[in-house]
Amino acid sequence: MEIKDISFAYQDHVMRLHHINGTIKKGEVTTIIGPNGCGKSTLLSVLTNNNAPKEGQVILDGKVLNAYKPKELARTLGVVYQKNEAPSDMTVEKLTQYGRLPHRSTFSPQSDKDEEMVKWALECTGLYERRHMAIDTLSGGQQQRVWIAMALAQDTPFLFLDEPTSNLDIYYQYEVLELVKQLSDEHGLTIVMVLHDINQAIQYSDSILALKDGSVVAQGNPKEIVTTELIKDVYGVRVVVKEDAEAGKYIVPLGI
Amino acid sequence: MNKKVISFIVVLILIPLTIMYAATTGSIEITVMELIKGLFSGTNDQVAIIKDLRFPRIVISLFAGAALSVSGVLLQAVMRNPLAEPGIIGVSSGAGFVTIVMVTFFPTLYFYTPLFAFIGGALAFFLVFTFSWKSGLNPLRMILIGVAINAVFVGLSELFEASGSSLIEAASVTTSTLSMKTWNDVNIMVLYGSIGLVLAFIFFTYANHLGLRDQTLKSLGFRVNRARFILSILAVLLASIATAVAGMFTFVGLLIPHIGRSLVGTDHKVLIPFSALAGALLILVADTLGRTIMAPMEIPASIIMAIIGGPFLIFLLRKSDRIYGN
Repeated sequence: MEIKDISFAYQDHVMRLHHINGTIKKGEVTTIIGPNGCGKSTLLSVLTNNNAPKEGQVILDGKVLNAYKPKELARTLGVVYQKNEAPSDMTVEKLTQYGRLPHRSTFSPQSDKDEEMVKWALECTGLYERRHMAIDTLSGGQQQRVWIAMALAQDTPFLFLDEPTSNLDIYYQYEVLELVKQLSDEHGLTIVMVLHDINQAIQYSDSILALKDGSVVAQGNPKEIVTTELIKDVYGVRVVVKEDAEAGKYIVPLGI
Repeated sequence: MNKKVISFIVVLILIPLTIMYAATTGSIEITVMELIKGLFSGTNDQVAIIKDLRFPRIVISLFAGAALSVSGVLLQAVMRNPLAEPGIIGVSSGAGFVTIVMVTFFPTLYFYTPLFAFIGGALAFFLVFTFSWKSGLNPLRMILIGVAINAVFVGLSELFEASGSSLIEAASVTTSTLSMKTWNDVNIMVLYGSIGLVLAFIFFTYANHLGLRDQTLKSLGFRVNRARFILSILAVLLASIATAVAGMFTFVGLLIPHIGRSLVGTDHKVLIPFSALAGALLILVADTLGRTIMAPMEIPASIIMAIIGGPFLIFLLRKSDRIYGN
């Protein structure tokens, strides 16, 4: 996926993204980081065609994003949003089946392939045993995984996740991140996510895209680009960057 | 047996029982056996009267109840709001107003009443939708704007009547007594009502999909606005026909879907048929009560509905916090 000179504003005409350029390499995990309000989620919405850019283009598999038909795009690119809603009595399985919508026509019944993908998605997210439960009886972490399961059932080579770890306690945060790693390593998915935690971003990403005030400050391998200066510049926080054999590279905040 | 099956069975038993009671009770009292015999032989004068006077209102009550309930279900899905109801947001009063105006000025076009009603209902719905859409539907704003639109159309209708429209046809649109209905009215109601109900059932998946957020649906390649448009047209059609033929009813489209969700769940595959049946039953019960409770005086079914519906709704809301989607 090529991001070419993207600029974007909502109806209020305030520019939220300024001439963003970048590349998302196939099979890699790319993480967008940056402070609150820097345009992370906005960039994600443009990359997933939920918002159309004011200027510039996003090119996916050699084709401009807005040239895709809705279902065609949905077979290529799945998104898990931060905010989700579903009727409270809907079961985990029913909701996961929504992921098959782009592969079916409105009135056609479920195919074997549909069932197979739904089962796979539920197993991947560890929800197969809970598939008949209503979603409002699940914990926050489990609910988050149902939405990921839905996107997995979509069977797309690209998966976008908007803050998949927000509102989860640390165990579930790592559970989601491990799942991301597994999907990337074992199934070759190209994953783009937004994260708040810089150490998690370093640990789980092949590439980091750092945003500040709607502009890209740095993009590249976290081992190369994450420095004391970068973090100071992007977040305004003083950190030391450390590295050891067991933990790899990590940062420790010192203050502001 | 689960709650869903029991709910369906209870409604399916109560409907024929109520029909029998409604057909045999009133100023002419006969037994069910006499009625059935008379229908086959065609020689009983009392049965002939019942056939011309009671049967049309029974059929119309059933279809109007079904149409209004399903219209409520669809509007609630389209607007993602448990309070959306054709009566409350002005669809019914819009339909009523345009019908009165057109029938008064062009009495010869009486047979196009359903079309006028549909235009009025669609106009009101369009206004509510446009004014309350601000990069998304805010449920509260939508209800407030709906209440305002409703007030305007009710006011306009009353103004129009007060300024000298004395046509019986016109008056019947707003007062909603189900008396004086003919087989012609039945034909209109059954024809358009059935079309709307069948289409609503065919498109139940759209109503289910709209339970998710718009951006989620978009990411699944689902054309959200097209689904909203189709369901809105169906909802307006159903409410307008019911209003044109049976008059204005509030609460049915609110009460029945709400009861339906707590009994059979939020899946529209089950909720739409259940609401149609339960709504049919409710209006027939309301009309039959209104006709018999203080005979020979008749209380309009809509008034009975309001009186029993209001408190019942409060009771339901207090009993369960389960509201659409949350």
